[in-house]
Amino acid sequence: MIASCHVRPDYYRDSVFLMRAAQEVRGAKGVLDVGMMMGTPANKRVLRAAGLLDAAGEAAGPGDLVIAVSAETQDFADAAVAAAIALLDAQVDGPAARTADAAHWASLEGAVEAEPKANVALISVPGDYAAAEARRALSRGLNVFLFSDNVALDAEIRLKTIGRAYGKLVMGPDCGTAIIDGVPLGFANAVPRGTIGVIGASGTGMQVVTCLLARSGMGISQAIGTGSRDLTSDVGGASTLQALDLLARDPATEAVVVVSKVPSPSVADTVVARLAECGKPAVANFLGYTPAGIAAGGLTFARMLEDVVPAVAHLSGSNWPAGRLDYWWPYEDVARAAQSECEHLAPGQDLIRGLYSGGTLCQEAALVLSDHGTPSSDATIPEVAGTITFPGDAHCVIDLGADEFTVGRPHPMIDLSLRSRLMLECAADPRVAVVLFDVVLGFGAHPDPATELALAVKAARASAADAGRELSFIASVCGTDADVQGLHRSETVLRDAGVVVLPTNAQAARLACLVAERKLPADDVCSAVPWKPGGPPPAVSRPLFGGPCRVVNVGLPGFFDTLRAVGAPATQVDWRPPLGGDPELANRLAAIL
Amino acid sequence: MDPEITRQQVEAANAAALENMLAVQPAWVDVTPLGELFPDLPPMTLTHAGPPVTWGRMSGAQRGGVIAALLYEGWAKDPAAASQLAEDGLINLVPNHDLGGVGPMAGVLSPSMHVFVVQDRVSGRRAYSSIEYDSLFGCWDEHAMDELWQWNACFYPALRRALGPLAEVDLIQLMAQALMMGDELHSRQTASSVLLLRALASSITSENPQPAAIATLNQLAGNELTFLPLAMAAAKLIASAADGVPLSTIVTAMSRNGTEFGIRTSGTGSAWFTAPAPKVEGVYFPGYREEDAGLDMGDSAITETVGLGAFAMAAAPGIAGLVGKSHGELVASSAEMSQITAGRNPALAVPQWDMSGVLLGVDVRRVVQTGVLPIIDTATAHRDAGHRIIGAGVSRAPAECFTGALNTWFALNLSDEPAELDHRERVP
Repeated sequence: MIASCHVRPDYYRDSVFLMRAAQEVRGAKGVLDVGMMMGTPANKRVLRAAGLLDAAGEAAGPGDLVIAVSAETQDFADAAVAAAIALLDAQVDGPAARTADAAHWASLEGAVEAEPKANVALISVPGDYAAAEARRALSRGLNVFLFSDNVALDAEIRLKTIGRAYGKLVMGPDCGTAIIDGVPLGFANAVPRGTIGVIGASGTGMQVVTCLLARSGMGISQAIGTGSRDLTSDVGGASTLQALDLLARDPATEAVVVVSKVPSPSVADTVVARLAECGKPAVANFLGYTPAGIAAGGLTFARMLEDVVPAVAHLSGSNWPAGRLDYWWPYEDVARAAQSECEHLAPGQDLIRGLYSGGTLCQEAALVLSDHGTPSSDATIPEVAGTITFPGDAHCVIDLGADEFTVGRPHPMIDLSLRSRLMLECAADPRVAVVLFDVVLGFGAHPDPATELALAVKAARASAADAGRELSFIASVCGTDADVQGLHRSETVLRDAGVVVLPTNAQAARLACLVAERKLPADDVCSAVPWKPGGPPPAVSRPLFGGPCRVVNVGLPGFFDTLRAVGAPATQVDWRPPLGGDPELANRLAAIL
Repeated sequence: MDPEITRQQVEAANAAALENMLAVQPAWVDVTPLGELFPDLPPMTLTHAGPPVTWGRMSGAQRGGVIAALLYEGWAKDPAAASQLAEDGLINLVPNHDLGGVGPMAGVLSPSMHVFVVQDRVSGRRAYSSIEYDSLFGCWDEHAMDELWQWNACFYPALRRALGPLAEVDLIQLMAQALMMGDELHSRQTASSVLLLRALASSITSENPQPAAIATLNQLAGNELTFLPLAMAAAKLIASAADGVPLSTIVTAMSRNGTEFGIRTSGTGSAWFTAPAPKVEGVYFPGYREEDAGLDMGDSAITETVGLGAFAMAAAPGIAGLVGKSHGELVASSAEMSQITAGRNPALAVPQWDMSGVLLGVDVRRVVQTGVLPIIDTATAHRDAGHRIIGAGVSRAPAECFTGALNTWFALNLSDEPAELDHRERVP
């Protein structure tokens, strides 16, 4: 076996492009593995652990591109490197070709000067450089949507402090989704505009809530992501509280929903206190966490994501769209599904494997399992992304979108290969009864995840059948029929592959428990509590809202394409690292540029 | 220090630097031997292009320029003796920039060589430059030496006499006209040189004996780069007006000596930030190939420093073939430069940009942030001494010059300041 690195000095391409290119080259004859990454210390660690880094690769700097190949022979390695270089050079919409396009700029500063009305910077550059971009965006008076992950905690705290001082909102880091004045940022679904304002410290949680609201005939005034760490005690809910103030003052918002993974209790209490006095009816979903001693004037708690919508519907009083709340499977249907799935399982098949792309959905499934009295345990966290060891004798739900799985590979909402492989592994395990998974549609997601996952399900079923077994695949789809992938269409594709598709993740997880235990369901009801009205909102100016939302997209071109596709005014920054690739210099520069 | 205050201070400093540049009114006021302009130069002094360099590290073409100058001054009797003098360290080598001047290509000038003198009408500051002789590509053969002698014995004195009745020639007006006529005022000086000839024709004739007048008019009629030294000296006056503004990150000089590329910036004093000189990408004259080429050379990148040359490529469709690119590519690369410049010079309008001014003020911060490196039009010299021009093309300023300048800026101005949002890699 040959490990061979080619270094292209002082050359930048974004990680999404590089990972796709590497995937393509990996398929070539005689090639064992391919990594295409910028030569940052973190990336070099990944390549080193994969046995791909030779002396040339070790010598690469953070501003250099490393093409690392392992192959059966040197000739195959050379051919793979040549193929990779051809992909780099063939890409016609690369930075060089784009300079002629008036909407493309090399830096945030240029873009903002060209589009002075821009009010949001959508930043998706590598984490080491992301804080510097955000810092400069704040200095230029922009609100920040920080999609990048792997941003240091102290940097997040400082950014949010600066943002608050400037009256600018910092959504993120690790912020997956937002909808500002109808413009989708990051991963978002095509949902109608309306009167419900949503704040989410969890991306998929917010996507699910906006989609379920849409399915129930309700629309979104604003959906504001705050980043996965916002409700930790370190960050203290800085963005959530700021977003809450914005929604409290927003005349278009009649009710407020806050969605989060399990938060720090003290921060949750602060948020709840502010929610209770925000002057608008509010629903909070902290995935099972219910603050102690809440008197909550206009506040309702929803335990699961699916409980949010009935709670909101209660709030809107006479507008309760009872006839349209179509996402609850009746008892008989659940019982029938459970029975039919159980029939095919052999004794000893009693474990659930949850393969999730959405972190909140994964936590919600764990909560359902725990509510059901069958808690799950953790999978062994891999040293090298891709090798996962499941516990032998317990249920296990894993979030494949977590940082440790996304180093060097695209997010599982975009790249389904890891999940497809894990489905095969699960099918090979005679103790597995149910593979439970989520499918997330919308802008930024895979163009047709249902079809690809359906293929993986068929392959997994076939391999289990070879071993004389069957197993159960249970899923839910987050999306709307207005999404390009289509909710109904995606559900149908999965059902045709033998997947039991439930309307929500919690219902899917409950069914998984029933199947794993060969039980029939108890009558499940929604946990929403009635609401009492609060006072009217004050009228104040809205810097973030009031539209049209004008976005400067710093980084991944896919987001820019989405913005253009929905007709939102947008400017693209074809970002590359600062000269020399030194993140520290980028941070110092951010203070003076 | 509050980072926001720092940012605003830098913006204010750069605005001040730009204002200083825009205030310059360069006029051609004299032609005089370099030694008369600087009577106190130490003995055996030669000037040269680029940041400081020693004979030992000097590029082939620049060494050729030194040999030609030593022969011209009569300080050495033959090329071998000239090399020996330099080798022995007996020649005092001074960058043109240190004397407030600029020289094309090798930029090697000696006290007896004439220079064009350009003055800022407002401040009285002066800058000089010279015709781009074959000797400045490193050639000292009979024709090259003849060229030096003809210019210094005949054409320069004739131009000096011709300038007499005019007192001065306003260069901004002339350059503005030339931009409208297809010049980018670095590699293409066709229109500007014709405009200069038009301005001088009458007084060349009236102020000179007929043989000198005819020879001079013929020379100007046949030389498409006569105006280059005037454009360079004007650019030097404009660029150096931005020198010495504390906190400013504006580039005030870009220059190369065939060995190193160097820049100076407003807020970092007279320090040069250097990196190995880049290669020139372009085309070659018959008989020459890429392997023959020396590295980037000359003070003429001062024109790009003030937004002319490659920064104004959109104005000069005719130059595309010269550098082996399509006009579209050139327009795109000059537009790209707007991402690293702080403002514009409305006095020098580009018709292809709807009469917007040329770009002014390369900002080190933006170069480092965007990774967009300044592009420069240039001629190509041979890698060895003893040749004439071998080609033309474009080069890019090296990245290290700008990161070096920025790091020094931080050391000077924020040395006690922990880096804002400082975040080192997390160790698991």
